[in-house]
Amino acid sequence: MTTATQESTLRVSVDGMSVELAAGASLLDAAQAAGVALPHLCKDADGPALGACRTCLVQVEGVRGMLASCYTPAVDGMVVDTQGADVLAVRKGVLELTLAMQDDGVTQQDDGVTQAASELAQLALAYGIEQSRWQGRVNAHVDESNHFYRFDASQCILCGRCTSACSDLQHIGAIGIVGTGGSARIAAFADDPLGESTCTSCGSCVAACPTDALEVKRVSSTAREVSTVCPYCGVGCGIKLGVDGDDQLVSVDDDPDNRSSLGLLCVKGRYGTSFVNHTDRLATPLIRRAGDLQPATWDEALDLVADKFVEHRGHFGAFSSAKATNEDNYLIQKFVRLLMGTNNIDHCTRLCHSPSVEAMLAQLGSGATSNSYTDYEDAGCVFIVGSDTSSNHPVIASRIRRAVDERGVQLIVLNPKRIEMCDQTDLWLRQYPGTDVAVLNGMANVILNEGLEDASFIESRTEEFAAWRASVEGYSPEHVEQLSGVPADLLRRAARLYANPGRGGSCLVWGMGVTQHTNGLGNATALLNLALLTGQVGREGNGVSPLRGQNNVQGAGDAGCIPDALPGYQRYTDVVLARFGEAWGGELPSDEGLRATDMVESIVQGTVRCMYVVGENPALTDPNLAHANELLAKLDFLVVQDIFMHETAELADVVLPAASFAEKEGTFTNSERRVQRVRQAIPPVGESRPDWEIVQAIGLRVAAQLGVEPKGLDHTDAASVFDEMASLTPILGGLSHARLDREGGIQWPCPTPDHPGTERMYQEEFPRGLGKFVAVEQVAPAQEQPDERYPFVLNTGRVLYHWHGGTMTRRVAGLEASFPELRIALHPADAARLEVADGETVLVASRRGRLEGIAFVTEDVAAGSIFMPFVRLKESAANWLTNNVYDETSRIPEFKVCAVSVERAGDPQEWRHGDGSRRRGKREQYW
Amino acid sequence: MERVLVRAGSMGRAVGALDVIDALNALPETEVVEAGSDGAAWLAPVLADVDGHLQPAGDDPVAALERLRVGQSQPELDAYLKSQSRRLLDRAGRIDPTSLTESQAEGAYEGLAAVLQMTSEQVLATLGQSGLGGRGGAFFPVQLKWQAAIDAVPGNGQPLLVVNAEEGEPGVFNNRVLMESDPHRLVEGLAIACHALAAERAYVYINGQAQLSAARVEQAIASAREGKLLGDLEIEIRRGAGGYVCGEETVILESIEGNRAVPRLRPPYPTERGLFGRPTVINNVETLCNLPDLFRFGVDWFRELGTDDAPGTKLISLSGALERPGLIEVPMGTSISEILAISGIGGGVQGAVVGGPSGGLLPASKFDIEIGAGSLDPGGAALGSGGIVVFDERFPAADVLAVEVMYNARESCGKCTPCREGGERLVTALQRLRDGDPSARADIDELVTVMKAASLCGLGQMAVSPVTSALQDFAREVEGQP
Repeated sequence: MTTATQESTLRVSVDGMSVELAAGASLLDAAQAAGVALPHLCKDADGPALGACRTCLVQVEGVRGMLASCYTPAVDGMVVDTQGADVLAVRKGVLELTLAMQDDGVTQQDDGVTQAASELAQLALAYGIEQSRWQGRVNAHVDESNHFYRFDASQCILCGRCTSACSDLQHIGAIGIVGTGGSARIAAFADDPLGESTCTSCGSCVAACPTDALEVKRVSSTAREVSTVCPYCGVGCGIKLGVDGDDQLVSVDDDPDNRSSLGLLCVKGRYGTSFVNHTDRLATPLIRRAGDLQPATWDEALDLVADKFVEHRGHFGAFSSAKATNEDNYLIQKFVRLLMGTNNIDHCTRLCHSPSVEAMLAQLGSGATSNSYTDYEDAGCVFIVGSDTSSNHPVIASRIRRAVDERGVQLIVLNPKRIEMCDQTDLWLRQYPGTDVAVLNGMANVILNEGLEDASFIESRTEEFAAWRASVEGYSPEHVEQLSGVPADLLRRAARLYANPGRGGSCLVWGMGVTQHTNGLGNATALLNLALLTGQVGREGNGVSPLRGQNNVQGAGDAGCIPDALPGYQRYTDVVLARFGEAWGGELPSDEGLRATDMVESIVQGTVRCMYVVGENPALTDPNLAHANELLAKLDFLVVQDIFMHETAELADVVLPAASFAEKEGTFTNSERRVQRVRQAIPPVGESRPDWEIVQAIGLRVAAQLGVEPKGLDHTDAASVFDEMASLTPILGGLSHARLDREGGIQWPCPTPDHPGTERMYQEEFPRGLGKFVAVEQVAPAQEQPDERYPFVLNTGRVLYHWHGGTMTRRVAGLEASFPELRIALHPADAARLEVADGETVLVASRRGRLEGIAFVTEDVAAGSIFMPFVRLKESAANWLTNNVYDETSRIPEFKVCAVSVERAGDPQEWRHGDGSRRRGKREQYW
Repeated sequence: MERVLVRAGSMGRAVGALDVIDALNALPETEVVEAGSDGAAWLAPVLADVDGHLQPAGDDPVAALERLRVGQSQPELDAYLKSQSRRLLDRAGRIDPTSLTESQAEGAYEGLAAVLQMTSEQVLATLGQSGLGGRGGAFFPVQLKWQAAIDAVPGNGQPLLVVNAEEGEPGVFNNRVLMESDPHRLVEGLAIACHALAAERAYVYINGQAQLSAARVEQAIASAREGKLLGDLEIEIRRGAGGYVCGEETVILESIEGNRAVPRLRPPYPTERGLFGRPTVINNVETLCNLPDLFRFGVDWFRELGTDDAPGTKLISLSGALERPGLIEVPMGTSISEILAISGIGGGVQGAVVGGPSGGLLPASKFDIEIGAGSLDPGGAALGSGGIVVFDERFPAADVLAVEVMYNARESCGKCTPCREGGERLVTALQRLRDGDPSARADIDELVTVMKAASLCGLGQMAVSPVTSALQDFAREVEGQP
């Protein structure tokens, strides 16, 4: 940046024009400040100076030779000449050499398809080069092996931007410049095809390429760009949707100004939004007639839904959506509470972080991530528990990798499966599934025995320490080793590092591996005890982070789509109920509602007979699907509101077509509590409507039938919905669409319009006052243990290329092609015993169901364990196998552990990619 | 027991020194010691007795030993050694290089002992008075480099020392002989540097092919440590994986850090933020090998040889059309013809490549030039690290040039456009010129200008020096005229 915002500034003359610069500015910055357009083919605006292309040369008075301006620091008083005859000639000479690397050096004209002629072509024209004087040295290699982009070496000028993006930005290092002299080239390890490299298809290289060497396969012309937020995971990356003249989404660009993603994206964010324009999109309401779902008008559908909802008041439940906006969610829970008279409202948090939220509410008083992503970079240690970060929160993984590479942050990984983040550490603790409490209590035991606890934090910020302390005395490292399989010396090292990382603090990061157990609450509690014991919360560079899985799972909870609290986690006290009742114009129920998992289970008793499911697919994502489907089929009336037909919608009586994230205004709240604007890029597809509009329309009809006159069901835009929510929700009180548009995303709590938002929570005190130690013991690792009949432990999770059940990602060709089949990770020893070869079809069965998948033989899983994602692929879905048992308090299902059998089902076949090419080269990794 | 030293090193081993040792070991009452080379590659391996009598082993090492026993020394060899000013090579060939005791008996670690009594300021002051310039080729004042690293300590941490023992340039083997023949001189030199810099850790970056060098240095470090000469200093040997550019100092830093061998951008300069972000002094082996005797005998002694601008001696690697190829040591300021006289210049010599692929082609008519720091001739010849390859009419200048230019093109690390692309183009353009295409000259001039001005590191900038010098002094040959 060249603005003189820093304390020390300097003055430089460029071609006779004097410019003021901040200290640390380069001569290229100086030239740009002076309005001089210097070429800089290898310098990405956001990337580091590489000094490779040598086109930005300038001369400086009193300095011999020519200097590359991109990395030469400006010094006060320098006199810079960018237009001298010598330097112009040399620059032109370099450009001619560069141009000759492409198609025999003929300047490429704007081809009308790409946005504009490449940077190089524009420069060549500017320097008057129509044909380079050099010819005959073009590398004709083309690599089509990646599903999203192609590499055409005949367009490559070896500027190194792509390799820098891969290494310096994403810290993946899949590609590099290899070879010397004339054989120098961009390549993956061992010259493998890119599709078989460690590339994760994040597309940072493609975005950085100044020529057409790296180009998305689906080239299109963008008419306009809209800044919004990625619809996938909870990281909340900024994206710029490119829209063509036909209102189709045609491209995605990263947003360097987004404070959560800093210009980073993963494969889903960059290449995974084409589902929006997929022909499968629901375009009209559907009503089941004579057994079939048939198109209907909105009025028909809404009238029917309202009738049935009124009919089933008292036996009603609703699932809201962590994929929908805060505004959608707010109006859905308002409708359910105010007009359906029930708190039976929940969303998928029940299936992901409900134990985390319960534990945090009990021990700290608030259920949100305490820190910001920047704290991972300021930390000395990041402790990743039960999170496959690079698959599920890829951009956070990139930021952690960068912290490791550039800032020496040390990682601890606790996971029964080897995850990619293990590449960044030698402290991987592999516990037996379900023995997390033992490991975490063991770490606490070491910390206490070695006097590494933070005594003053315990004294001033916590309570019930003494009682808790006694509870971990029995967890000696040696005993824990017996319980969990984690070697005692590793446990000690991890405990010491977490307690005292040397510099900064320690950040605790966790995912579903902690929560999706029958003792999920115990696991989360043990984690929080560890943070309280060492004071690793509430300061810069430390914190507790349950990584949120869906784009707006944080916001759906904030907006009140949970059965035990109103928006802003406000409990059903008389004062609160009165305030909301007053604002909404009606009486509100004060009994806690049913949780999502219980709602489905209670269908059998008839407690719930009618359901409204918005943006959720329980017929695929609930455990023990045979059981879940049987229950859902028993409902008297099921309304599903979504963007695609899916397993649950197939069972519905009415299906309502919803607008996708790209077709509406609103906000999402990410994993660091940052409320960010979602903006409409295209009109709603077909007759689809935003969720908030649909629920408002249903609400008005229901109100009419009930003869009540609620307030605030007459919103005409999302901004006004947000304003109503903010007026009733103190943590969001200072926010509005207008402010977010002006300032960018803001982290709650933000109680007033002049409040800057909260980067770090709990700095002075916890919402409940003192942090509370809660004793937890290691109980039976899981409800279902392997036995002779079902000798394997099945672990489930997600993969980089798919999103949850796959409703969206299976409709993105490249994502589908990147991971087309259900891969079942199997240890080599087990594979040998079962006589199953890598790539063979295997049959996996549990007491509840069976499925087929492809064996993927890898040491990433322990012997006796298998892993598969819960995405539905080739008609197989892991939840046919999983166990519908629940954590007692939080009611989360035990997705992570059940007993299964594995047997060989098919003839041997070579392990192949979707396009039939033989896989090789890549480290034996699952995805 | 009669003791005989076989002056071998990798040069001697290449011509059967190990067989010679086996043959002598078979003799009764004979203690055979494998010493390093004395530089006399043309006679290697040479046998030496304890009194300094010398005999080339020749085809019959037993007979050569007999001649030694009767006190015969080969006069030509004696003259060859005496005609030099052997300071760094003083112990080369005279001691068992694996023996700390023998090295110490010949003065090793006396300079270090003196330095340990001095403050960093005193050491740097002495260094400044000595005028010692870096022997890697740039002749940058060593004192200034060290001072820059010391000045950068606030904010960047304690300095690190990196020893540049890559020596990947064709025709240069100064460092190899030093490391193989007298490794304690290097270890002592780096210990002196680390003391002055308050560096706690040093890296010795040794060419991947220089196996014997690495083994000898490793052994010397171990025995010096055992002899409690190194205090807490940690010394790590790192090996290059090949490539001329690996001798470029910032490439070494990248390589040690585990990255691809490409140069770094300057600034920051290594002395400010180098290896692992720390202030880093990178000195050539030969530079450091100057330190022990400088501090043992003092500045006045040091400046007795050499010129005012470039005091001290220089190792020169000599090869090509010579009677006595090998490694010699002469005072700075010695003329090329004096150097070639030691090595025996024959008839028909056309010129010499001075300074390797980054240097130039010097015609025989200019052999009266005296060696010094910096450029020797406007055409491009420079002393560099001290390699001279002499060519006669059997190897035409245009062929010499083609080899140099192809070498530079191949060795371009590939990072920056002018060097990578220009190098390749230069090969073709020169061939066109030689084939009689006059339009090639303009292309060559264009490439020379662009590569020199725009390349990222010295390899690219100086890759054109052979071309400019050849165009200046061997124009007819380069243009393909008879």
